[in-house]
Amino acid sequence: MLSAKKLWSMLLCLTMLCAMVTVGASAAASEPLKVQGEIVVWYSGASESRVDLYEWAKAVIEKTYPGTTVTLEVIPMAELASRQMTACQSGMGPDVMSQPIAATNGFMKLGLLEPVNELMARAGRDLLGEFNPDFFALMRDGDTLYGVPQSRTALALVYNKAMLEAAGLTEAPKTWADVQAYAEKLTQKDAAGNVTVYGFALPGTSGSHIWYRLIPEIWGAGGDICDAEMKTATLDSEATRKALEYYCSFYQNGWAPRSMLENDQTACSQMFASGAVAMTIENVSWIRNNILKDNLFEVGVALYPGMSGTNTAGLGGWNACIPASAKNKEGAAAFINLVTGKEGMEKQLLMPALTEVLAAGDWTDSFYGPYSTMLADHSRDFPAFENAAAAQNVIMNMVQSVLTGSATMDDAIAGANAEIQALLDEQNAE
Amino acid sequence: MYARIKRTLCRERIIYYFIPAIIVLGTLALYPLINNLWLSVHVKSGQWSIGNYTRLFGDKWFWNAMLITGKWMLVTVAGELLVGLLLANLINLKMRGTKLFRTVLMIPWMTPMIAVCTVWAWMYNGDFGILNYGINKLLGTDILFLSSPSTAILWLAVVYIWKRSSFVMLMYLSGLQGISEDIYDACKIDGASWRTQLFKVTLPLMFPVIRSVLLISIITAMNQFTIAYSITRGGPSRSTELMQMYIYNTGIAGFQYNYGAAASTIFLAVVLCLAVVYIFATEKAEEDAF
Repeated sequence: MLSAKKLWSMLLCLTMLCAMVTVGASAAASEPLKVQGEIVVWYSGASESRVDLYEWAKAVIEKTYPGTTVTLEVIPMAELASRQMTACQSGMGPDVMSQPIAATNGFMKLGLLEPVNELMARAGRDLLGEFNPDFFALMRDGDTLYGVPQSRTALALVYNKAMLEAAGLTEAPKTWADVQAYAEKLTQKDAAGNVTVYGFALPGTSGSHIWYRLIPEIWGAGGDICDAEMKTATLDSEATRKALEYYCSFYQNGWAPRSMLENDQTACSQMFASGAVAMTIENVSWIRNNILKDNLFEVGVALYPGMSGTNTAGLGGWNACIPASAKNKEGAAAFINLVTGKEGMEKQLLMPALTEVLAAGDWTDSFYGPYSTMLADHSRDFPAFENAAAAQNVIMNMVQSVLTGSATMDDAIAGANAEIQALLDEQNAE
Repeated sequence: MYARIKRTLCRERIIYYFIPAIIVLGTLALYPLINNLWLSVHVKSGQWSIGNYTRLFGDKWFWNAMLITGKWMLVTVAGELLVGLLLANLINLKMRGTKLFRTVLMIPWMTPMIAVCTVWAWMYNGDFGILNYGINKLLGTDILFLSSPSTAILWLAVVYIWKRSSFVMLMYLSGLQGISEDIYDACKIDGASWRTQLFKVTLPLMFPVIRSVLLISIITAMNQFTIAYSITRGGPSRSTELMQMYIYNTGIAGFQYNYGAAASTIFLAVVLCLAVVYIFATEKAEEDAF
């Protein structure tokens, strides 16, 4: 039988122990990051500015924390997602992964990412306060966040100002009907009947490029690829029919390059840059890097035209994440803090994700303004397919079947709907 | 005891020479093969299942890729055999400049495949490709090389044959140069025609070389990935989606490692069966030829 004295002593010890654990935990949560050892970073290096940004962050880390080394590994864009997935699943991932926003949700659902709330708080960051909370929609589980937005983009219509002026078109197209009428008017032929300038270019190959340009048209027509719960495919709809008819009309009428089936968006944009195309749908960085930088011609930017008004564009951009298997999580958080902080954001060519930087003057002029408006007011996330590459291929195949005439529009849509349903069933079965 | 062990080791030491090869092969070939098999009979959660295989047999795109790969193999192997043989015979004529010609012919083979594909993709382009431009100027018409699902695979085969023919030529040339001139001299004395020499002397004597080259060609053609991936990405309408590309799209890009492993296991079995059938069939033919 325990005496009252002993019981009180034990209770006191227990209380003190609990207090120590609590104080210790809260101290750990608020103490600065311990940055040491090697920090391994995998990124795509897809643009010059991103290489500069990461090299800058490496130099700052190594100078601020002597003895710490940052190893930057550039992974080709085409292999980035698969290489990261394979490495994370085998527990051999890096400490920091920069990845397209479409990839993060799948990594999170598979439990491959480390929550960043506490780590970033220790770096002095208030993620939900500093960024548009919508940017976390696909990388949060309740209050737990699994990545830090690095950049966000939304597509807009770009046009060759001189070509529109020469055709007597004083303002940018606003609706599908406008775009079709403009494309017809802007398409030019030489005396032999060969097309010298195409009115409008859209990609006919590359799943992701078509996805980013067709799904918004389906949204604009009132449809979607699947329901909000991602249980049922809803592609077989009148909205898809209208959107697909619109998408293919440029090729079928000779207003889009006859090589459309061979062209991804990069080829379309190269044709735009060379003056062989008058309008296209492109992101801010490509136009800035390849046309504005070399001052090729004056580019007009307009809100993405939809069926009867502005389209809702699909969000693009990059996140910085820490794999659950990372060996140096605190170092990773310190690196991400630099890349996604104000100074890092200002070094990007892509649209920065940080609200403070996005709202600054540089991003609201006549070139960036429409992109900023699209991002703030007319954008949303794509449905989070775990097998995004397969879903994108289904959409590409549907477009190509109609463009080549190898299937009727109804058959192409019905076939694609069935394949999307199979992907959803597989996703929901797991 | 020690002496007996020593004696045994000395007597069987030949096995030691194989140890490095066994280690390398085991690590680089056997382990991935077993791992691939293991992956294919499991699902994502790690449970054992043959579901990947049953799903595969109902997947129309798997059969589509199998069919396209079959067509691709027939066209490319026949193409490179014919072109390679023709080039080897031309080089073997021992005329002036053949050394230079042979070096020039080796350039496609030496050029990296990805560079070749990039250049050909631009040449084929319907709007700014030089081939289309030339055809338009000469004939006043256009050929959209890569836009038709029925012909795109043939235009890809042209690139492949162009790239591979010089290697095949080299192999045939070594076979041709191994045939003694005395045999041809004897044929001429006997009054054998050019055709008789070709079918009764050259081809039978070349048979071992042709047989080996064909086997290499079949396996290489069936495992082709780069051309379709970099020029057409399997399109239009999946008409150029070769099996390797299908496996990559589902297994690697689509993160369905187990399903992709099942597809590659089936495909490996098909290639293996084909190779075994080919070896047995040609063995008999080779015996008959002599």
